[in-house]
Amino acid sequence: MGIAIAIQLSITLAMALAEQYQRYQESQAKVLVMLRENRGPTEQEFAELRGQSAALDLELDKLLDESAPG
Amino acid sequence: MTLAVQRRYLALVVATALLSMGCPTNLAAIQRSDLSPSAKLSAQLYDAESAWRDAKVLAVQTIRGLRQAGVEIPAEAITHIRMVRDAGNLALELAALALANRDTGPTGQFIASLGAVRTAILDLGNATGGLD
Repeated sequence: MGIAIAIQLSITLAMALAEQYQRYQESQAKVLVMLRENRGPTEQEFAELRGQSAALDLELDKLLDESAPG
Repeated sequence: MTLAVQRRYLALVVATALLSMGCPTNLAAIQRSDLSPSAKLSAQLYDAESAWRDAKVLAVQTIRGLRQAGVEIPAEAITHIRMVRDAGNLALELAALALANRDTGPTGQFIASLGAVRTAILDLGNATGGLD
């Protein structure tokens, strides 16, 4: 039981970290493209990013509500 | 330590640490760039908000994985995750306000936001053991 949970947790964390690394590379690439174009982020780019972040807040809240003990 | 306690402890440690992982990734490149000082500030804010979004993605994935593994997330950890998330969101909103008001000086909205960030950080400190 304990070993099975440990294995599943390890797999979950490894997958999450792999995806995080991919996102890190994508985020880095996006900012580096801006720098190559010698410009800062546009209002549209900020709006898209904040929309994604707000959607994740909702998803996180939903997950935490569902995870509440009892 | 029983297995149940180990699982609760693991869930607490992992879940509360996840939201702390959002750190700007391109600060050095932005500072080295030829952007104007104003554009550099804007790029730094975008970079920080990107990293924070990515940390939320990681948190969502990991909490989902913990639940699938049958690991109970303690109520205390759930509260702390929300507090860390809210404090981070408020801090980034404050930074955005500071950037928007850089030519006019602090506005009433900025000062209110600053107070909200201070309160959120103090609440988080008190909830997690104090900020002495």
